[in-house]
Amino acid sequence: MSFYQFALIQMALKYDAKHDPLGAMRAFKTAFADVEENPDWRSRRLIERQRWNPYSMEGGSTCAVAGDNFVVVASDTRMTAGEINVINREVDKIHPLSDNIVLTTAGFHGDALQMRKLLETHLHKYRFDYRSNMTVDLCAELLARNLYYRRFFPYYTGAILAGIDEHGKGAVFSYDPIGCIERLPYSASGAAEPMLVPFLDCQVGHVTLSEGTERPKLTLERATALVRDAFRGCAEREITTGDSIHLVIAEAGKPIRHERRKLRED
Amino acid sequence: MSIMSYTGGTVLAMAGDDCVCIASDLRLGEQMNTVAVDQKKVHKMSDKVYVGLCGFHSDAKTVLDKIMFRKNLYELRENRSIKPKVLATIISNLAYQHRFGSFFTEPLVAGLDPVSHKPYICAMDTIGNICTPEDFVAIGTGAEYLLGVSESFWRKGMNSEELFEATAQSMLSALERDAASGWGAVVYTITKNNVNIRTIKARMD
Amino acid sequence: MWGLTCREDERDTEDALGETFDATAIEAPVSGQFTFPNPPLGLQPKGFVNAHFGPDSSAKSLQFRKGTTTLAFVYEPLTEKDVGGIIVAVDSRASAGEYISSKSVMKILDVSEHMVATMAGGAADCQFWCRTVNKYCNLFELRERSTITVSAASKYFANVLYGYKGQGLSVVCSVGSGSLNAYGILDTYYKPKMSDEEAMSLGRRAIMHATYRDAGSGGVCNLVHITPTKKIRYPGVDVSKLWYEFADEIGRDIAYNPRDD
Repeated sequence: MSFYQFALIQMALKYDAKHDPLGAMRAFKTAFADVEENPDWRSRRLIERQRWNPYSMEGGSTCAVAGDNFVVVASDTRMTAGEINVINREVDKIHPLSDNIVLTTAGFHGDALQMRKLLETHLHKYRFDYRSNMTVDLCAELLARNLYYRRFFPYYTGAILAGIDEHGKGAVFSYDPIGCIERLPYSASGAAEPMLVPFLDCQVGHVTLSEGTERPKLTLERATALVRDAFRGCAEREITTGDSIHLVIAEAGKPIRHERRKLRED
Repeated sequence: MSIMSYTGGTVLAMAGDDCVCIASDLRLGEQMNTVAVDQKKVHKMSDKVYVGLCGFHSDAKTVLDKIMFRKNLYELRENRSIKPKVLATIISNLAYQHRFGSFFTEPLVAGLDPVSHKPYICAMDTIGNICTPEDFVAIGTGAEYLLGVSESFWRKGMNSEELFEATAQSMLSALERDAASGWGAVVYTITKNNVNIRTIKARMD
Repeated sequence: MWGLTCREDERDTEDALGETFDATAIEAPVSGQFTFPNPPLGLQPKGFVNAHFGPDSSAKSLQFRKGTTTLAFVYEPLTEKDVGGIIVAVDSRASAGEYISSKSVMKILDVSEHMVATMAGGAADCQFWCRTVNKYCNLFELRERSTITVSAASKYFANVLYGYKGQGLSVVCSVGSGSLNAYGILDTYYKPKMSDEEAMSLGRRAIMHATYRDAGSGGVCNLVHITPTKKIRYPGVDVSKLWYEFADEIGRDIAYNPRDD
């Protein structure tokens, strides 16, 4: 028996097509959609599978701030299970992919590792094919497409790609889970995104200052200090963020630096 | 969209040195539609005690009337102006009376003790669990955004000017990212001597 | 496989990553042969994605970005000096539920030399498929040695999207939730003959009023003017500033006075 026949029978039980054709049509449509989603002949196994959840949320948050000739990427290092149990206090959520590209992820760590592997493979092949390193713009576009290729079975991650572009300027690209890409001056993702972003709006974007007010210049020192402050605030209020901050600083023409600071551990 | 964010709105209260600030946005919406842009969620209870009501606006209005009634009755019976802590307990009791069919509104109380001028701020959930931190409380759709910013802005022992600045900046930053509230804000700075009401210009989108 | 043990005859034929990973990881997908990997175990993509990324899912910060108000209209030049053509105006907000995930999205996407698409609905869907249409248009022009017509491009677009019917794609290439308010302004002030200045300020005003009433739209107003010969992009104008200018113009008192205390 096909979906069509099944839906027809279901509908015929409720509506008389002669007297209420519109109602019958509507009922048929809903019945069809319903039957397609949950066919009556589903086996127990199938029903069980439909409840199957491939994802888990490991919490944590990351953010990135771009400056004139640098980019600061930060994340906490806590990994949690079900928002309650801390399963690891020293996880690296920032993945430097090359000398000028840094990937950082929050969400499902399994997908994050898979994504890193994918990008590393692509970067390796690019280096092999063209004998030069990929620029961050290209890598950003590549990541967007690869995220979208999984449109119907997405990666469970909020990714940020940061780096130094070919003009030596800092670049931050922010994504949604299916690869809506945008280049921004600063971005955050993960559980504490709603707390980090308004703070950065205020301190980096200066959106709350009235016009004509003097705005402090964004230096590397200021950016790192702001990011640390932002994370300290989040660690107080967001339970899956904490333990320590991992800072990765990329400057134009300099190797990538790593820095670690303690956060609260409760 | 849950009923708690149907009409939108955000209230923030911060405590300083013998002063408190309470700020609210001005939007009244109907899901994503904006219906009014002059609807403050902060209401005066007595000279130095204010209450903020977020959540579903119809319930907030009803609860406000009920609070008013109980507060007036208290003041008539006792013949003295109400303390913020007493008001909070009254509201908590009122909310818990509706434990199994609660009002969809989160109350917040901010004020100075009429005698000792000690600052008092508290927020509660829909069934009246009082939470009294020493620094700041936020309720409504933008509470999460406020927590991050206020945490960085709040310092111990701020005077009324500093406190106003911290409250206004936190509020504006949060409104920047919350679609369900905004369209201007109003800040009440309650000090020993007077209550200063200031409206702040915000984005209109 | 997928952490489940099942007998050989019950195993799913659909295996999105296991065997095919190595091949697809390095090579860019060949169009026409590439299929999007579906969730395993025969799950419906729409229901699956909605369950894990939808508004009722547990992942609040992983919702997909959505866009809203966009508009476009045609007008004739009023005087000799004007060029006429098409005005396309959009806001720049991307929201995930009530959270504004971006205030500066570019919602006017290039489709070809003389064509643009505006995005409303799923932001990633729009970005990806507009790029696909862009590629098709470029190839068409190289193959046929003539520019592609707008109707041909949009037909191709429609056909591509129809192939993914029922799987939860959301691409609206003209309007959006704030559009009702924008229509109000357009219906009132639109004239078939307008000067370029007039047309652009009409586009901006319609967007501004839409952003004022609709919580899902806001940011800056980006504008593109397509003339018979070229396409001109104008820098974004802050809609909040536009509103304050408008209030000034009609003399509305914007100061709010709390009445009862």
